[in-house]
Amino acid sequence: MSSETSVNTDRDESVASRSRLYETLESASHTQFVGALAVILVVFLAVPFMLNSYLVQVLFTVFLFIGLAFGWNFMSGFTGYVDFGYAGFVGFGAYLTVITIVDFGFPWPLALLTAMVVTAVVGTGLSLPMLRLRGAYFAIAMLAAAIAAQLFVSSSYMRPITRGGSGISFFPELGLRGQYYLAMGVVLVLGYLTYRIANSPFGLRLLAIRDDETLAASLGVRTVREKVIAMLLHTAVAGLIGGILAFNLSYIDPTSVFNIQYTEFPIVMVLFGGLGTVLGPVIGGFIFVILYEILWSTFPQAYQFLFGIAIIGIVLFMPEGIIEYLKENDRIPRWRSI
Amino acid sequence: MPDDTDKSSDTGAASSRIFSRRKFIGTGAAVGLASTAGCAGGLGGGGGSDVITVGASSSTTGPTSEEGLTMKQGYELWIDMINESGGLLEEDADGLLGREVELIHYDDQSDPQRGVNLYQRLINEDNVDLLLGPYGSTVSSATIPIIEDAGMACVMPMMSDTTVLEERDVQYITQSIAPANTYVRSAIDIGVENGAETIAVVYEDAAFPTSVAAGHIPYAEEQGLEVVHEEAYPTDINDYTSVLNSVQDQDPDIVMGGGYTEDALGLTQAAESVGLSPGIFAWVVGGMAPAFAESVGDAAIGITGDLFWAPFFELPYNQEFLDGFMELFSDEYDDPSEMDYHSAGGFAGCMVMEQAVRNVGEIDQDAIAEELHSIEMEIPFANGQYAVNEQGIQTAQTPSLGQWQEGEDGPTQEAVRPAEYATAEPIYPHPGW
Amino acid sequence: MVSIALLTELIVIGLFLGAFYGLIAIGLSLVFGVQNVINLAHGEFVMLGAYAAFYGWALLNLSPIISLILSLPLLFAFGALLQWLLLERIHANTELTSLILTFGLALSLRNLAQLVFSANYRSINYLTESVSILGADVSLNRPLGFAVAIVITATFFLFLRYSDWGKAIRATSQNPEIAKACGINTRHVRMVSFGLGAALAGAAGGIAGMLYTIYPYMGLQYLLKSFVVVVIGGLGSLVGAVIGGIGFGIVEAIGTYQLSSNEATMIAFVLLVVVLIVRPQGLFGRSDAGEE
Repeated sequence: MSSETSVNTDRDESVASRSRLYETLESASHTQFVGALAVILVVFLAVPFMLNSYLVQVLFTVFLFIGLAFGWNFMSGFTGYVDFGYAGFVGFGAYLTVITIVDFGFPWPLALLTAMVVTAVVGTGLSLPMLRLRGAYFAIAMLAAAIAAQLFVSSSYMRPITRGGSGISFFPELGLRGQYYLAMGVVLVLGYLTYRIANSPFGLRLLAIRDDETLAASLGVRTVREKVIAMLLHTAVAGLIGGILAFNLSYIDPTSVFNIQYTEFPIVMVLFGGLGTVLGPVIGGFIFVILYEILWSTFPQAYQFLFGIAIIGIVLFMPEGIIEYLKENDRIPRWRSI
Repeated sequence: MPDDTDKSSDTGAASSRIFSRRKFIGTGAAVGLASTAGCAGGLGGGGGSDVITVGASSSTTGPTSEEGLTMKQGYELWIDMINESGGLLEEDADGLLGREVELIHYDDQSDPQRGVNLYQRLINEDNVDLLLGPYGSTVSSATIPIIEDAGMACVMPMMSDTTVLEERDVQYITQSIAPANTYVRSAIDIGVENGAETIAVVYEDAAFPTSVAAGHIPYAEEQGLEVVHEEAYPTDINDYTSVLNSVQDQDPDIVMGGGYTEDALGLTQAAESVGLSPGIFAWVVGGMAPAFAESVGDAAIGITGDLFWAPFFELPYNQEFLDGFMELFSDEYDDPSEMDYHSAGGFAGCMVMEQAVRNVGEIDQDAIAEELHSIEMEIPFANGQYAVNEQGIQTAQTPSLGQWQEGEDGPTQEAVRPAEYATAEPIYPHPGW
Repeated sequence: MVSIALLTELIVIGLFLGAFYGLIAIGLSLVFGVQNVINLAHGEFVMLGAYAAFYGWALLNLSPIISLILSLPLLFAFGALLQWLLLERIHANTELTSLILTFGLALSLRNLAQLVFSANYRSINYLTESVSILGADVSLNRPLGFAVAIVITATFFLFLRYSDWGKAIRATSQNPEIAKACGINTRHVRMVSFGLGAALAGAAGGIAGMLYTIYPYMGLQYLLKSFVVVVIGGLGSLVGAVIGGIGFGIVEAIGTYQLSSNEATMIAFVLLVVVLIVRPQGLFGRSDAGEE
């Protein structure tokens, strides 16, 4: 890039232009960070008591999609294997949850756990052959698999179990408030997990796979094993969130739970935030879901169109995501942990 | 469940709404976390004290837009009549309970998920006083859990699939239309009378059509018919000919099913393509829709379907409904024969809600819900009756069977069953293409 | 099982269907061949072609075939514009970037269509009289659609073979660097080929509009099906696209008859995944497919 001297000059200049945000973040102590997080936490905990159900629903949706974004990020953000069929796992988890509750009388925590585990095992198992594919081929294969999953669920063989296109209507034991806290809890756990992974050797190995898989393999990274682990996390999250989603909808049918938006939205959020970052899904999640609600209220028809435009815009102008963009321009410190 | 703290917000002026809501929520929270969140928003507290807000969504766009739009027109007519002259149920009434009525309506695009969100908005954000159902069993069934959860009374004018009402303990919701399993039984009867032996049932894989099939197949078998082909095709089906090719091979005497107007259209066109011409066709919902006949023209002749309403039906309040509708929608309709039965259905559902509210005398969701279950009344729809059992399932109605027959300006709607009210003899077998 | 007469019938239906799928697949394969981009918005071009046919029919009373004369140049220009405006910018980037870009484009177009045209279902009632072809009873618009598809496909192949632009496109497909070195403006070639891809899809859309229901989200299913065709035939191979299309059409016709359309489609996708794993380059594709 540039020679020694010009690098120094650049840094001097950029030091001068560093934003207040940068300074604040850099100089904040550990306690202050924890404190700030705690305050935010308390605010969100109090929300159901302060706002009406409709707004609780909105925030629930925010958390739901952030959770999905984290889950998608585990695989596609860290390893670079872009999963275009995430909705397939979400739908699968939703159906598992509802069927175990309605037909087998599972209590809801057990139903969610089952959905999570089964989706992870079956989902990863079926996707194993596809992990050999690269880039676009993997993406398309996952998309095809997701569509096949939806068709499978609505097929006539499965109708006795899934009620096909008629869908299943049920009364969830967990009310909106409960769903809200559950979703929030899941997001916190996933956020923490992402933070730990991002700063761990495991995370580094995943990023190495993303940068250059052949090179990583030749350096001793057991790429297959790492991809499988990432995939397990990825699918487990989808299964779990699918279940929580089912509670919220209280009516599931193939079209609603396999809806492509459960693939689209996490992608946009993670892209916007930054692949493989911690804050990426969170910031992306908040901005997009809140934007979604505002747009939906004002232009109930136009919001998806605007998301499409947003994706195009991000790819053209900020392909690395906003966090990376800010880091590169020294607006925020370049810590790996965010 | 509504509690006493709620009544205060009824009489408060708009500005104090926020305070009374907060106070209520504070109390509610103190009462216990066990209360499900839905309760918090859905009770009492209307938009203002002199307007009663009625909330609903319907599919004004999307695959069932014909039906959703015409049903909404029924709602609009009712609102208009109440505000103009107090409606049809009470002499010299001043609005509803002395207040004007306002409709808050959203387009759910025939999507159940969207419908659920919209009803949540109506209940919690718009704080409507009364609820009316959306169009179609799919969207209606999907909204039942949240409406129940909010404890709001609701009439479903266009939900004929009774699965949710049967399987769950639903207290607040009733249907004002006949259950799906009765829709075109008369067509089966006509077939049997004419010596039919076999029947094919092809239907859309969605709540209502599945319910239709589930109700009619056993009935057909009871009548001694053999079901030679049964198929549920996907909702987003493109090419109906592949479905009918299989039917064609079996050469059935009766072909029935479909889904909505879209399906009736696609299936009829496909039948023409493959040259399928059995004894009789029966398509639910869409079969007798004026829009259907308009699209296919003479190909409609011979097709039968459920006919819940026609301008020439002699039903209580029908003339007033007809006149009022033609006047309000004079720009869109030249002639009553263009009217779709969904408008009558929507209107009738509103009348049921109106009666319940008048009987109770105030906006009390629990009491209204009870009324909806116990009243029996006359409506300008189906055979003119409304009565439900404890589950909210319609018990008094039977739909007529209509058939398109040759008229002066093209296909005309004729009622062919029940025999006492028939305006024409059914055509059997199908006249061919 | 299946009698000969029935089989013939199904093959005829399958052929009609297959020519249509082949037409869609060619466009997709062409774009991939020239610039290594998998256009996820390809289905939306089909949708736009269908709507063009519809409005030509509804507003101007034009037969869907005649309105192709108007819609094809328009879609070509639109495609070329999109290439210039969007794809050229990320031209040097990875395959994945273009995938996500076209994904966003698909979302935008689909929903823009919904805004402009509304979510209502439309259909064109044209030449629906039944004719019997080798035992198959189909509406007249089907063999017509088949004929149109064949004509356009043939014309396109001739164009590729004998015209200067066609040669330039083929050269760029084979090796962009050498093509450039030979003085070919690869940028223009990319624009033209993307435009052609859109136009071919639009032509298929015109046929689809004549035969099937038209609605804003209709593109997705054609995209997915053309994926199956293109992957089996071989990404980048135009011959593969046509043969794959016809094969797919026949299999779908038989599958739909034997099982149901849902199951037939599901099997198609499972097949897609299997092919991707076992032989990613398909029947006629380049052997470097599937690797970075």
